[in-house]
Amino acid sequence: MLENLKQLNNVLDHVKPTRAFSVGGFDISSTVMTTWFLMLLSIIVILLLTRNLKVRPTSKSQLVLEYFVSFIDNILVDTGGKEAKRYTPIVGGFFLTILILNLAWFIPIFRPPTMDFNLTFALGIMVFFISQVLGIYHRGLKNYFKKFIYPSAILLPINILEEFIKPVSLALRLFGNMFADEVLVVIIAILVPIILPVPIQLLGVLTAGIQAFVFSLLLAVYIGEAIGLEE
Amino acid sequence: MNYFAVGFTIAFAAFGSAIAQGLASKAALEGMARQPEATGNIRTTLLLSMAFMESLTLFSFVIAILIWTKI
Repeated sequence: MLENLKQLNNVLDHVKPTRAFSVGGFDISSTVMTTWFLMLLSIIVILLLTRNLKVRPTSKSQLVLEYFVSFIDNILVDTGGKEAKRYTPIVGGFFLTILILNLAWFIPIFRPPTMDFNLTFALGIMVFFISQVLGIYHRGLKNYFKKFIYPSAILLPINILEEFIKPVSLALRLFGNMFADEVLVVIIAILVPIILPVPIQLLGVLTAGIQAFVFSLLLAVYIGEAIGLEE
Repeated sequence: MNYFAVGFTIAFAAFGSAIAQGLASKAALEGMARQPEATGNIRTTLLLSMAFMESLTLFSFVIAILIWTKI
């Protein structure tokens, strides 16, 4: 037991991304390797699922896909109106990517790449650019800048700061949830290696789904805000 | 001293979000008891708002880890 307690000192070594291999001085971390593998897997699966689509669906896979698309459609229509329906591919892509990356637990020796804050911050940067570019495209440059001094000019610094805080908080939320889950599982696995880690990891499945949903919902909200239909 | 900081970071954050989550689930339970047919909608919204409150605690968990590893 005392040995186990001593191991608690290097909990963080278990959750850090490790170096998979290096190419000419560049270190490729395990995060990147896992992401590449899951990308390949998901591309193949999606290609297999979307073969011979019909107007009147007969196969089960097409029904599942249509349910998913209408689910994302509903989120976007709720937050941004009918116009926002065009951006279903963006939001759906984010949802599927994050869900698949979060569930990487189920492949042995793989760890969810979303535990690495480099990946979540990359997603956050993408969200930042998406919302800014869509804002300029839909409102025009003049109205886009007008948004920053909307109630009065005093709020200019706060409005600018807000645009940066939104993606950072998104990235931190995803990272924090996945990281905390993994640390909890590692600590329990060190203390009680039998049976007890399993229900905790099952709780992690719930977290993975909810976090993917929260991320895409907030992305939909930001897109709806950027294209600004209510004015 | 660092260990005190780590402990108190988590303690205060958990204190706040526990109260918030308690209030949210109280309201949701009352709503479900009064209108059982709206249970599905309420549950989805409850889970979502729980995730938001939870994330504030997790922000401070990240900060606590940063203090602990002395970055």
